[in-house]
Amino acid sequence: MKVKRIRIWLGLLVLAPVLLTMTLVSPAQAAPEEVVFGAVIPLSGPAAPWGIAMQNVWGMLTDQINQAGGMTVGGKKYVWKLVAYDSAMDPSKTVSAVNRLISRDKAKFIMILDGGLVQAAQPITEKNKVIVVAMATPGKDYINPKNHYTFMYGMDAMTASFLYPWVEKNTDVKTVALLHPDMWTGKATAELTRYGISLTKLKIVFDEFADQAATDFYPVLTRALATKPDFLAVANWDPAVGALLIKQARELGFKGPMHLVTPDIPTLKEVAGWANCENIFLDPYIDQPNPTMKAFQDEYIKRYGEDQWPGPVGYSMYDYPGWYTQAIQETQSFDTTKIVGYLETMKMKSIWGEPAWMGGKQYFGIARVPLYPIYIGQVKGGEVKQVIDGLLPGDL
Amino acid sequence: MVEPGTKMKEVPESGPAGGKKKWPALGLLAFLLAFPLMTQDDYFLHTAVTIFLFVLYAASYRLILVTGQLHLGANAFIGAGAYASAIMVRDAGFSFWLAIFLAGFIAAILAVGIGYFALRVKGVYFAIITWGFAEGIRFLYMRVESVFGGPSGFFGIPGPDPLPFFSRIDFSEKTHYYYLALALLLFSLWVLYRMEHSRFGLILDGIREGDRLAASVGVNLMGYKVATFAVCSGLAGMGGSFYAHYTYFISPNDFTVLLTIFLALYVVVGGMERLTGAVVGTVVLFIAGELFAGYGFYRMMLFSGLTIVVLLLFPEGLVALPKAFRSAWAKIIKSQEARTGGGPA
Amino acid sequence: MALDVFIQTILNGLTIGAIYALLALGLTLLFGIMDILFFAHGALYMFGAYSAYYLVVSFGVNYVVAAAVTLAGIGLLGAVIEKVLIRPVRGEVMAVFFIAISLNWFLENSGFALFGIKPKRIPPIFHGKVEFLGATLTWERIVVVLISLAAVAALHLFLTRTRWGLGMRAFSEDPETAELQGISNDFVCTLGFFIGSGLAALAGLLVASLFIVTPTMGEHAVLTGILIIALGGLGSIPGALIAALILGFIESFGASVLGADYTWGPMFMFCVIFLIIRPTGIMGIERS
Repeated sequence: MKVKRIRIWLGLLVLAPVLLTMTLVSPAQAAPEEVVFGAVIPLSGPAAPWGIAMQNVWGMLTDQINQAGGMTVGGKKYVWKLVAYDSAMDPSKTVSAVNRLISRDKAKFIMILDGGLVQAAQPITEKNKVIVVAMATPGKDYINPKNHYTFMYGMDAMTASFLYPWVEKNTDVKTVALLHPDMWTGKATAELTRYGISLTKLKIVFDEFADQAATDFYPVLTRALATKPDFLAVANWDPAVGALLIKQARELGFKGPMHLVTPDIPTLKEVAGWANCENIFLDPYIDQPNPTMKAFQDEYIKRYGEDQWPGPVGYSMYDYPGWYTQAIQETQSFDTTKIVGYLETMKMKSIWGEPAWMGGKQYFGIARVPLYPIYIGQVKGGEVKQVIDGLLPGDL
Repeated sequence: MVEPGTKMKEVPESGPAGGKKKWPALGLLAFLLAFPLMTQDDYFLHTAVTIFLFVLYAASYRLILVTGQLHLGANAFIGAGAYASAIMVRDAGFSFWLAIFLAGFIAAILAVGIGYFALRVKGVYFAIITWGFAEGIRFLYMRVESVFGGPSGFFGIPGPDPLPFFSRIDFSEKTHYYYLALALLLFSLWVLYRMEHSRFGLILDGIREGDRLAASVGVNLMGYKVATFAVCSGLAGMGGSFYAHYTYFISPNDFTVLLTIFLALYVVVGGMERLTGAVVGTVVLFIAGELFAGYGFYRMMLFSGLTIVVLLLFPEGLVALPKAFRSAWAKIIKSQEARTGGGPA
Repeated sequence: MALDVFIQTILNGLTIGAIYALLALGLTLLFGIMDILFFAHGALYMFGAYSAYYLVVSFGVNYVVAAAVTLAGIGLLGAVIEKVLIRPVRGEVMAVFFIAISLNWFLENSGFALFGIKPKRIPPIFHGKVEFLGATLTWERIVVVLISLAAVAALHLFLTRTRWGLGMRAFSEDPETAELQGISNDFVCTLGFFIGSGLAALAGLLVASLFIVTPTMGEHAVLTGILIIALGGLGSIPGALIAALILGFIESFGASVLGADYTWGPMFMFCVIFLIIRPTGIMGIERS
């Protein structure tokens, strides 16, 4: 019986000091001069490349803003502090991290990757009036009038609303096959793609999901191509997987155009083979990166190395630190309700150009999607032609 | 799976346990009850609730391991409890207080269903069957969207309705959840402890050490195994139900085989031999995971590195530490004696 | 189903099956000898792929040479793992199992740190494709299938015709008697890990030229591998091949007929039901 008592004491011995320490050590107060830029992103697991890239981008941008003088509100100076936690793409860990950001780090601005995880966090963030930016494909499930403080990072697959009308007008395509990754993003992309096609007379002949983790897509591509589509939409797959899909579709004999979102040209060349990329629509694609983009990429590579540059998808991570700073400066306030109201009408500049503004009222019922000039390219004769060049999105 | 020389459990005493050794446990209990009063920090409360839940899962999981079955499908039953409860409350209008028990019951029935077939085999076969079964169930959650919500998950799950007489406890605050989780955990630990420290538990031990021998003396192997499997899975299912009404949102990715692997890890690192092992293992590893949280992808490396080291040094688990210390100490003493030329001739 | 689609589906199944067989080979060997489900097999597969990638693309080494170096290197890594991490706790089944799992996590995450975040691929070595009744098969896939089958055959011959191989089998049946007969237990285990890891690396480097290389490619691979060896009969090499082909065909036809999103569930349930009826797998291997 002595043995048993020792074990209970051991349990106590281990538990108590830990819990005691956690209780007594006061959580780090965000010093008045620091404003937390929170991020809940995957830093481990299969999605880690995205999360790590985001951490790098925001770390660099907040540093740059701070070095340029930070923000001045009510005569006092403030600087950004990036606090990033690993969500591991797990809802429970996401909720835990969001809790930590709000109660310990006093964050009022949080970036969250993946729409499903945003939804898991929203009950807490909305209650606390914390501004959330979803690094995800827009979905009505979480972008809606009920979630007043949740924003989109960008247009993402909403560009479908402009691509397909262009395709209908400028090519012979009549039928489209859709292949989405079997996850939340895929589902949201599917809805947006279908919506975009519904604006045209194109017919959807195939509309299915496939496991992103699979390596061999011959089976599902065989099935898709059996419907003899003119156009294959493989939007919103992980860039390398998308490239693999392109390669395998070409091997199976498909010669038509395909649509790939957030493409990365070096990956395409390496995984798909450039010859196979003929006719592919790259979205977004900008022929001549503008000075902002060039400076951004150069600075990133200088800081983190060539190997860590995520490609043009990095541009999608660029805008918010600057927008927050602008909104705070122009409202002279950290009150998130005020800032949200201001963002709805703020005249913004995006890394994609100007003008940029918050839109999406028609589709979502609330203006929470940044709209900016659209650039889409198509590979023709080994060169990428800019087929949509700075088109301003209309009412969305 | 059974190492020769595994210590047989102590014979349970008749009558109430001696008063003296209750004090440390009571002290811990007092601390846990008072904890929310010491801190209003939502983050700490959330961590505590999550730890309670995981200890519940791990403790119930452990008893299945004790019967000698390597179970890789615990996530299926936790998920079943979660989805069942969520559907009952959100879509069928049940009260949470009814749903949680029904959910546990459903998980138990499910366990009987698969257990009846799977428990006939042991070891890796059982592991793979339970894993496959869990994936099959997860497939249902993913594909039968109208009922389960599909890959985007099931949300809008209401929290528990206010207690009948204490309507102030309406679960709008984390503290309310804390006490509910603690109560659920204590209830489950009590059930598991009573199961193990009783004649039932002795028979389970016998089954683990040599099931053919046990069968030859008339023990209904399948009966005991299925019963244990069902009770443990039912408790886990109740935990799952709590989880659903705590996070208001569940998705198929919440219940993958990874969850089971973590539970097994907690139990093995803590020590399978005693119930305390599940508790210690869960708390230590979970807190380690949280502490490493700020390190990006090094977090997993640190965590897995830690578990490798612990497993290499203490293959029997942390709970065997006192024993390890004592045997190490004894060895040191013995080598001292040998060197000074002492000891019996 | 149209004829060309049907033929394509069969060819797809064959390819998938052959690649799965390669994955399962090392796993079933390790299980057969050591009674462990060596989870870290996935990480070694991934390391094999990256090793080949860096040798070929960054150092410009000839592919065959790179393959040889990779096989030897990863094999040695496996042997070291056995000596340092497995042998101290050999016999403690649970501890070994979880050390392997933890090791898999550890290596996988170190992959992110070491290899960067962008997925990679080795440029194709064999170009061109073959048309067959309306279906296509690229030469690189044909080569991979052939190498897979050769590896299976080679391993089988090794275990049945060579001294070392027979020694391994003796060890797996009865370690103590084998030791008495002069077959060093330690040596067999180390050799087993060397070969098993080498096979994982082989699968990895072949896949690297066919598909893409990411630090997490091992996860899906090892889980599928475990399913295959269970189905085939733990420890059985012909079983692994047969099970791999069966699963390959199920996956191929399932994806083409039902759709990939509806295939994986039934595939798991098929395995579960099969194993309930016949837990010892296709080849009926008795294993405690």
